[in-house]
Amino acid sequence: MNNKQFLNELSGKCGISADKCAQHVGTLVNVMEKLWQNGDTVSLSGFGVLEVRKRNERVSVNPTTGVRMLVPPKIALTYKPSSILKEKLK
Amino acid sequence: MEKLNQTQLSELFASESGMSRAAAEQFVKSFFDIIADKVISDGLVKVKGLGTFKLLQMEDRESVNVNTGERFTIAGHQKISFTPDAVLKETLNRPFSAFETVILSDEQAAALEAMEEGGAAVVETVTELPEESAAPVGEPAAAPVEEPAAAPVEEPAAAPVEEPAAATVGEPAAGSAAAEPAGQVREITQSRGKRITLKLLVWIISIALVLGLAYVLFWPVIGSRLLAVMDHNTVRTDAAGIEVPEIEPVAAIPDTAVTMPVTVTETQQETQQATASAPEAAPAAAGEPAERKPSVPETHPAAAATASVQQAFRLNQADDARDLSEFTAADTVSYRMTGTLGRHVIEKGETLTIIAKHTYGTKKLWPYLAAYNHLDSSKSLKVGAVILIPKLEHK
Repeated sequence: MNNKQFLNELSGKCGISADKCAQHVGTLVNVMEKLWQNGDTVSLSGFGVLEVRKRNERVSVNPTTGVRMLVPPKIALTYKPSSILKEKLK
Repeated sequence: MEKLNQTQLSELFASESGMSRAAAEQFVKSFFDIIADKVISDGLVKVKGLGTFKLLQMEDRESVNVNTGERFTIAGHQKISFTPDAVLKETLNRPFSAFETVILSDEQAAALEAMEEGGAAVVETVTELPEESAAPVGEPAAAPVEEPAAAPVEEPAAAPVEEPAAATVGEPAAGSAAAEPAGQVREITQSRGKRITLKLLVWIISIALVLGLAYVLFWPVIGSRLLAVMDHNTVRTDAAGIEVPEIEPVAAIPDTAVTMPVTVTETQQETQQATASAPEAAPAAAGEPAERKPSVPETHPAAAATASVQQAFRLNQADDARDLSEFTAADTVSYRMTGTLGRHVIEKGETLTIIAKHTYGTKKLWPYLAAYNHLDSSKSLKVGAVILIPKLEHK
């Protein structure tokens, strides 16, 4: 499902036009982005947890050339599905 | 470092978007419900600005029970993966964006591994440091109580850094830099970069030192050898011109003339010995040195005048034209003749190069044979003639 389909679905469910929906999605993502920039965690029951995590730097090896590289640390957004959602998968 | 639930998020969203609370809550709920539903039904949901949720099929795989060591199979299952939008990813990683992947040399990799092994001890000492330097307010490791208050004060970018910073503090590489305020993770890692450049500098300096030391230590040896070579050249041109007539032709002429009788008599004595052992070669051999020697003083200075002696000593044999091209001055001037090694009776088909190859192992040294026996290389060797083989010593 691509973004357009997603917006259509959302607009149908909320009764808002797709254009407006796109705006709102942008706002919502911005709100969450600010939260994540503060290191906050967004936890949604039934969906899961979206949080930022620090990935440590590590030495990675290119298996074909054997060249070692020091990959720098980074901050990554991670998603962990809720147990409810995981149950649905089974 | 707060944990926000759906209600709190909706409130924030409502104030941002200007929607009513109820509508905002409804919107947020639908937003995530649709993602959850569709990722299961469609297997893929793309949300612009947020990222992609994907349903992945995991295959069966074997694993080992860590406690019992038993092997068991993890059944295949489905997993929801999330890949954040590239823009979002970059924005969130901005505090660390200065870092770049570094290609490590083998030594650096080994050093890193060594540091990681000794890491545990470093971590302990480092975590104690913040307590000693209690000054920094935003210090997460030491003062978690103050943290919520401090976080809003600091620039927004610094806040997410705090959590990672605690981890970075624990890293061995951070070392002493860990005592600095935690918000400045960048500083810590920069100091790490500085350490690497420092290491490089130290390496370069030590290599330069070793080279200098080696130079000082070995100078007497090299120097004396150089001096000896220089001495040798001057001495030889003065007194023993016969040995290296090719170096100083002008000085060599009289010397050769003076020392010639000695060599001639030597040769004659030897030829007489040869005559005793080989009577049939006698008439030729006896006459040979005698008639050849006188011709030497005329031809020799001419030969010596040219730096490349080999060019002058031209043997009549056909294969020598090819060999000559391979000669270099270095091959023929890097030895000195220190006496007679033995004698050789020329046989049919033999050339000086063949004899040189036979006695010295390389045909390049044939000019010494010619020079030692004062042979005119424009004339052919005579079968049965006896030549003296000089003993060669590397200069």
